[in-house]
Amino acid sequence: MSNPLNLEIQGPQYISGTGSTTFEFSDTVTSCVFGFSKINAEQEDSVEDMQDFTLQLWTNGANGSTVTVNQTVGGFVPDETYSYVTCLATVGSTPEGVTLANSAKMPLGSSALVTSSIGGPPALCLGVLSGFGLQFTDDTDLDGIGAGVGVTMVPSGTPEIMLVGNGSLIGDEQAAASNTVSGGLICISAAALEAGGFNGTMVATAGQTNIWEWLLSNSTPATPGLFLQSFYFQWPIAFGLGGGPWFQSITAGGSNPTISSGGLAVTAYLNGYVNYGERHSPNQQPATYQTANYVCLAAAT
Amino acid sequence: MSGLPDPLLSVRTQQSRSYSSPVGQLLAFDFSSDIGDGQMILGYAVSLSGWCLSYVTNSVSSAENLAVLGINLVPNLAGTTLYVTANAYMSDNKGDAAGSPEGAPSTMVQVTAVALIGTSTQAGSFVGNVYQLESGATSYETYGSPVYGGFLSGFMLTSNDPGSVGSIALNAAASGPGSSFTLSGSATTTDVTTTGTVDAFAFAYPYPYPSASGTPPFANFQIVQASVSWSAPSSSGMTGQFSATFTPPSGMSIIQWGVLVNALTFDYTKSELQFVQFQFVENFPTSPPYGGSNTVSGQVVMNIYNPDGVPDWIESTSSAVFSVIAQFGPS
Repeated sequence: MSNPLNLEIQGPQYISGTGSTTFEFSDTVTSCVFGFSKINAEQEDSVEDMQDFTLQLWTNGANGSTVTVNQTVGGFVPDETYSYVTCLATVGSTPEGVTLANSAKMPLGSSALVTSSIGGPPALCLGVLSGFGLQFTDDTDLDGIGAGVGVTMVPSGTPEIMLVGNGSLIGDEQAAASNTVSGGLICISAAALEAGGFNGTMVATAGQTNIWEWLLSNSTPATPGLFLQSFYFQWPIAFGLGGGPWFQSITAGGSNPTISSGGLAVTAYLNGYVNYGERHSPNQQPATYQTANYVCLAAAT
Repeated sequence: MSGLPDPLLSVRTQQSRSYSSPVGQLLAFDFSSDIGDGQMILGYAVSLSGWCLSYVTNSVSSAENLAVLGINLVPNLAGTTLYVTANAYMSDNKGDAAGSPEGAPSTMVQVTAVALIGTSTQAGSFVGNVYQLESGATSYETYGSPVYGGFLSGFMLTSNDPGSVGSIALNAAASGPGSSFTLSGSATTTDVTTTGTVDAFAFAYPYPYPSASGTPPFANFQIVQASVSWSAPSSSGMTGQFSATFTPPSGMSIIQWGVLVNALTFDYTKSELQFVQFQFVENFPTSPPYGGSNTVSGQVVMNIYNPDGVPDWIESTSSAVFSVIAQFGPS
């Protein structure tokens, strides 16, 4: 039995490398949005310059009550790279004022997925990260990497929204002009949210963090939904650090959200490493700056 | 709320933390105190008020070429709070990036957020942002009566051939006539060849500014172009003492204010740069004027700087056109 808005949350579910996962809902999926709740991407031995940093979710759409989400990996070692993915869907029918959709491969800094029929003033307008494709023009060291998405209102006479995306790749080479970010859009109108049984918020982290964000009455049986909205890592930049920095690994997110006293509770991990040394004398360094921001949801069951 | 128009405009300001990540900082703008019974957020938008972009480098040099320079603001709405991810980008494509270098201002971003609050959507009233307007090439057409704006909400300059920079110019604008307006903007440099885009903020609102001869309802806000007195340039930049005086409706005073930027020009001797800033160093985040005054004031610093060798800094021909938006509420 779904909540008054027919919203169901499934996941997080694990995808290894270039694999896929299938979400099974209680009824026919009429709209859905998917995104990362956790990413882990690595390079083998971490003594190589890299050109491509791509982790991309995609789907061919819902099939009855199931949604299969696939993952593409570029540059990272597939065997060492994985994600946890969450899927939010309307089942049976899509109520007025609920908009869920994904947009793939937006150019950095741009907007996409213009939606005009959002059913009135919005109460939740949230972007969730579902992929990034960041490339340099040649193999290079890596000093910084990040991506994020959001939802902006368009200056027009009717409530109209757009998904916006951004990303960054910093190193010794120019970032390719075709770099992209992918995201999902969750928009719930104020009138729809008044029906109850669903809520969301955002939280920021700068390291491993135990998150607890109140969302629903603690007597409401519910399922949690954790989505990564953005992440960024920047490693030490200083004179005399030695060779590299060669990319080693990034981890951002949580895989085990639960509902505790009406709040979403999860341990969110955040760490990224580069190597300033050689294969046999590694000088592994954590990030100087790191951030990850999350969309936290709860849907009554 | 009693005495206030429907819809009303709500204004908030925040700045990102210094010595923290230049990218991905989440700023929370809580509008709940302005939302009365039966009201909701009808629309939201962000505007770029100030910033500092400052290099950390992997060499003995403090200043580097310009290859990437920009600010990007990404909004998300959750209930009555607008969350804005502030992203400050700076790179020379040689391993140098935005950060917090010793002996120089830290990279940071100052943001004004605006929400349109009321009981129901009204035709022709809106707030919103447009992203990635190409310099002088692409524009966005919108309708409303009247449309206010545009104002800068972000910009991006990128170069395929990084080099020293002679000047940086950023602007956003809206042009009429009537209820059909076109938003446009430009981000350009001299000496180093760049591709530029700007993000813009605009809004439309139905009621006029308060006036003695007019008939209510009046707007609960006013936008006044700031009057600025600039100091002579030095290595510390140009310091601008600014003020803006408002005329609140009877029984109301300024309860919030923020800064909206129209145009900035940083003139510079062709040189590498350690940092570039248009940063409010007093009264930001903002607080209501002392003693219920109708004038807001503060201090802004504008500079572009290279400390290596014989230092270079901003030239006196540089300029800034910015406005103060004040929100009025019961005194």
